[in-house]
Amino acid sequence: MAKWGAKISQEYKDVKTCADKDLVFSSDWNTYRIKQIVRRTISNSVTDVYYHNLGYVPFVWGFLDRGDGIFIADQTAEELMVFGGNSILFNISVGSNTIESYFELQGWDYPPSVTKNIVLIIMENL
Amino acid sequence: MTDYVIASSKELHDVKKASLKDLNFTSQKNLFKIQQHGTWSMTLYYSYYYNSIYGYYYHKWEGQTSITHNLDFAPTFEVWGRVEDWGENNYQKWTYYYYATASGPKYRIIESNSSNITIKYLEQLRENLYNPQYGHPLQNVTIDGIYSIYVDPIL
Repeated sequence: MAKWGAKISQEYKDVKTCADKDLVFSSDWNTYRIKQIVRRTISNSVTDVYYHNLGYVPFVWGFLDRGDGIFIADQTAEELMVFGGNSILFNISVGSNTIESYFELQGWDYPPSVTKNIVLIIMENL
Repeated sequence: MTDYVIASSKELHDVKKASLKDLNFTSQKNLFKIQQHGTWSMTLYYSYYYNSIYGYYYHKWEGQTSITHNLDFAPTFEVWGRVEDWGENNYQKWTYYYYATASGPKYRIIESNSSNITIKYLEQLRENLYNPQYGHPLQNVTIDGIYSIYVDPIL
């Protein structure tokens, strides 16, 4: 069978001769597709469980809205060097049916009952 | 050279007028192309030693593994890991950390070079009454995980 496919090169690159890294797209290479985008509000120091029930362990991008226009990525432990020395810890744990999200704020500026909005971007299985 | 563009818009958007966020594909923006995707595993070798400087016994788990890609450049990548004895639901994105406590150093290092992704792990615990419930079992431990390596260089 003849080899066929589609390629799109980056600007100023010749699609027929350029290296793979200079392609925007190639049917030779898979790309991640977004399965679900989930928005949740979770509480300080409380593990939140989201049931995706996909039956596989998906790659997930997690972001926490710090509340001041800044989003931090999951697996972040961030020291905020402001008066009082506040800190934020945010992580997610992924299984074949659930995603557990957890954040912890420490410092003078944070009441213990605070909540934060998070976004979970869940990828399709490959 | 004529400037050709291939683009695809989201539903209900005109591809010729849509803003970038309303396109689900455009040849003007690169995509992460997956060169390889799979699983990895690593044995953490357990050892136990006496540090005469501090006068304590220490438990140590240490391991290293590599994923070969041979791309001839340092690629972008993503590594997730799971410690088996911590249960099923604990795949976490692995990022670099290195810190020292009274128990000793603890690190997780993930490096990308032109031929491999290398994952290194070390954890030390000072012997005391509380160690057994916080550390790994006092034996070799297996860690497994998933990864993606992209045909797109870091630089």
